Formats: sequence, structure tokens, C-alpha cells
Amino acid sequence: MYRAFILALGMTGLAATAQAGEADVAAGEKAYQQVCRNCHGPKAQGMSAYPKLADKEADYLTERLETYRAGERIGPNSPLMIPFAQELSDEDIVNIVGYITTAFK
Amino acid sequence: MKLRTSSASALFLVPLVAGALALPATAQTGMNTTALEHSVVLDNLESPWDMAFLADGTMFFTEKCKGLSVLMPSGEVKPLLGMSGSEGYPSTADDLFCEGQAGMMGVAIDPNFAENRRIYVYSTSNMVTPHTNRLMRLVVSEDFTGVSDRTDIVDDVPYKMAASDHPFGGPGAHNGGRVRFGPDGALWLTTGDNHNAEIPQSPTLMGSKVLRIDTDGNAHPDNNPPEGFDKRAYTYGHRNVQGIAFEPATGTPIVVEHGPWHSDEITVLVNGGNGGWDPRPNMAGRGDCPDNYCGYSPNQMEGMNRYERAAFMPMTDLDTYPDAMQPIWDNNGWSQGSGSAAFLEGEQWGDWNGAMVVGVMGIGFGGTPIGQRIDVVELTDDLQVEDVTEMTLPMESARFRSVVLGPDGSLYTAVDEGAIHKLTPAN
Repeated sequence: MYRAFILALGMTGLAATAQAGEADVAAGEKAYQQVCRNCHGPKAQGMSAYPKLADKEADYLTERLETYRAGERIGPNSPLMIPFAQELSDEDIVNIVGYITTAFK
Repeated sequence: MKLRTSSASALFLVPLVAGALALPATAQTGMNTTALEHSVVLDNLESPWDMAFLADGTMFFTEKCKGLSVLMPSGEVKPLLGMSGSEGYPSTADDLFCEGQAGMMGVAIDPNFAENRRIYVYSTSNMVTPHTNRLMRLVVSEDFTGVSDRTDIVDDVPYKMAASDHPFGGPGAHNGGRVRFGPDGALWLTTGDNHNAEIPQSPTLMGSKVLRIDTDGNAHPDNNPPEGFDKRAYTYGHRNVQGIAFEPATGTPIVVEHGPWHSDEITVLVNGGNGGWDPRPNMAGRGDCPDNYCGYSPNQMEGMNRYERAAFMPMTDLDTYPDAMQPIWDNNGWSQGSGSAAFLEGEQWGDWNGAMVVGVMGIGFGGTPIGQRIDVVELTDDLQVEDVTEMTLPMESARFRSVVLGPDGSLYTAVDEGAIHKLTPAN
């Protein structure tokens, strides 16, 4: 799955097209639907013990991803989140957060 | 009722599905022998957990944080019993709540429903503290507009109250949750370990057990647990059993349960048997473990070779418990969230008639292929695994929470994404 995620990011030409602070929502959608949806659901609705994201603000989502990326544990699902987040660039986070905060409102 | 229907031959779908999955997760020595038609029975649900059918197709279903409803053959959905905070139900039980993995889970229909209108629902309750998981008996009104006469026939399945230092370590972990009537007419309930190391081998704590009881909650008279055990226990020493099904030819109970970062298992139950799960610290060569539970040790927060994990903290510890029930399948050593089981029955299933199906939710931790799928497990006459085939699905993979054979011979599956699907062999 992890390799598939990286592949998906590469296929979108993400790094070349996204600017910090300006979300490439299409790239964010591809990344989200490739990986994040497996736990958080296709509509970011949350599943099982995995939280709903659709109702979260961009600042919250960004802070969480950056915290996981730093390897800090901030909840019971940290061992799942940290390895995924550690592969994300700033642009990736902007894109994913941009998708979540626009697609499900 | 949704009308979206699709069908496709298995051969056509193979490359599509293979491309959608990162890595194959099981040995696939078999072949798909059927093409499947697919339809969405219900969607826009919230974490549907289980279903139970009447002969006319009436389908009771649970949603983990909402409650119990019924889908009538007409397509009308009637809410029956809401949980705390739920809206739109004719009544709510305010002690029923959800947290983490806990909430409203399994549902089963009394074999004598036509006479007594009884159904059985397993849910987490805060009626007492520490909270518990309860198996409730309910009476459904003649017009399917409500339930009454709640009787908690099992009220003491433990619940995890507080977070602990473990993966998925929040409150509400490992409740088991499947409820089924066996061919013997007894009522079966599966439970889990709550991340509490004392529960699995405990003679009296009713987590990590498979209970065989009557419809008043009394122990089946033929249960044969060890001396000193609660007589409701048919088996003990499990981790978190969410799947149970009965082999059609013999009626033998078979369970499916999650593994601890390794080794999902299918186990043929033996009356009084020990599942061999014992995550206590300072056992079997282990020292201390985080919060006195070795269930994810060692190296519980990071990826690690699954066989090394299994050697340190076995799912079935045959060294300590040489008479433990040995699994007949271990998912190639992976833990991917195998959580439901049913048997395919009927000529429409072709060579799969009589095969077991296992719903896998997928996890994807530490290099594990996520593995969301339905496996078809063909068994020999002596209930060993003969072949495992990943079902080629005419739909997207998902977190397959429940698999149930409907009265029409189709396989119904509830997925955490919020839908109940129907899979029917195409002619």
C-alpha cells in the first residue's frame, strides 16, 4: 500500500505542480483515495475506531499530520499514522488537507 | 432499496482488482469459479456491523453508533431501537453507547421468531461502572415498528474503560461481538480481551470466550470448560473473535479472529478448548510489557517481521498450552483484520457450495499488505483448509465487517464504509 501511495504521488507530478499554501485538490484526492480512505472512509466519514475527518478544520488536520510526521504519538492510532505521515512533504499535506476540507463540506 | 446493479465475469475483473491491490495477501492456489452480480442493498449507513434475516428477506441490521433497524421486503427501512444520542428511532436505550471499537454489534433472530418475535443484540452499555458489553433479548412488534421487553441475558462481558499504551489503545477495544444461533438451536456469542492480559485465561471473566447459552442466558448443559470455569464458556483463551459460522454438514463451530500484528486465525472449536492466547507479562519467556499487556510485543509501535513477532507472542501458544486448539489457517502469518465468517450454501455457488467465506477488513501496518477482501476457504471433510481463493469482486474492496448468507442464497456483506452489499452468483 505504501509503495502504491508514493507511486500515486509521483504519477500526479505533485511536487512540480503544487505550491506551498495552495492546494492541488486533485492530487490531494488521489493521495487520499489511495491510502487515507482505507481507514477514514471514502467520504472521510470515519470507520471503526478511525476518526471522522470531514468535520475537521484545515489547521487541525495540518497540525495532526505534521505532528505524526515528526514521529510524535498523539493517540491510539499513532503507529498507523506515523509511517504514512513521515513520507509526506509540505506540499502533500497541503494537498490532502485541501481535498478533505473542500470535498466533504 | 438501491437499484444499482453490476455484473462482470471473474476473468475480466482479475486484472482490475489485481491492479487495485498493492500486494496479494494470501496464497491463491484456487480459481474463481463463479461470476458475481452485485447490488447495493443499503448505503449511507454509519458503520453497519451485522445483519440477520427472516425467511422472507426481512433484514435486521445494526449500526455501531446509531442502533438497530430493519429493512422490510418492500424496501422500507424502519428504525427500531436507538442508542444514546440517536435520533429518528421510536425509542432509545440511553445506556447504549459507542466508543472506539465498541458499540452496537451482532444481531441474531430467534429460530422461533414466528411465535415469540424475539431477536438478540449485543451492545456496549454504561448501565453499570465499569461498563460492560451486554447481550439483549428484544421483542419485535408485529408491524416491525419497535421493540420492547428488553432483557439483558448476558450483562457481564467486560469492556475496556480507559486508554492504554498500545496500538489501537483507546477505550472500547476488543469486544468480539458476533451473535449466532447454531444448528443445535443454542445461542452463541463471541467476546474479546479488552487489552487486558488477565482476561483470556480467566475462568470467570467473560471476555476472550465463545459462549454457548440458551435464550435466557443460561449455560448450555453440555458445555465442558475446565473445572472452575463459568459454565457459559464453550471455549476460552481467544484474542478477539468477531467471526463464527457452523460447518453445514456437521454443525461444527468455526471461528475467525484478529491477530496481534501477525497471524489472523481460523479455528475449529472444541468443546472446552483453549485458544492459547495468553498475553500476560512474565509468561512464556517474556518480561514486563506496556501496561501489563504483551499482546503487541515486542516493538509494538513499529513494523517487524511477523514470524519474529509470532515467536515472541504467539497467537496460539502451543508451548505453554500444548493441548490448545490449533488454527487451521493463519493468513500466511499476516494480521489484516479477519472478522467475519459464513458458509456458502446452495447449487448456485457451484464449486464453492459448502465453502467458508471470511471477510477481511484490512489494516496495513508496518509493511503488511492492507488486504481488504473476502476469502473463499474450501475445507476438507476433516475440516482442514484445502484451498483459499480471494473472491473476485464486482465492486470496490472495502472493510468487510460482516458476511451473511441471505435466505435467497446470496451473500450479503456489511462494510465499514457505510453500505450493505449483495453478491449473487450469475447464471
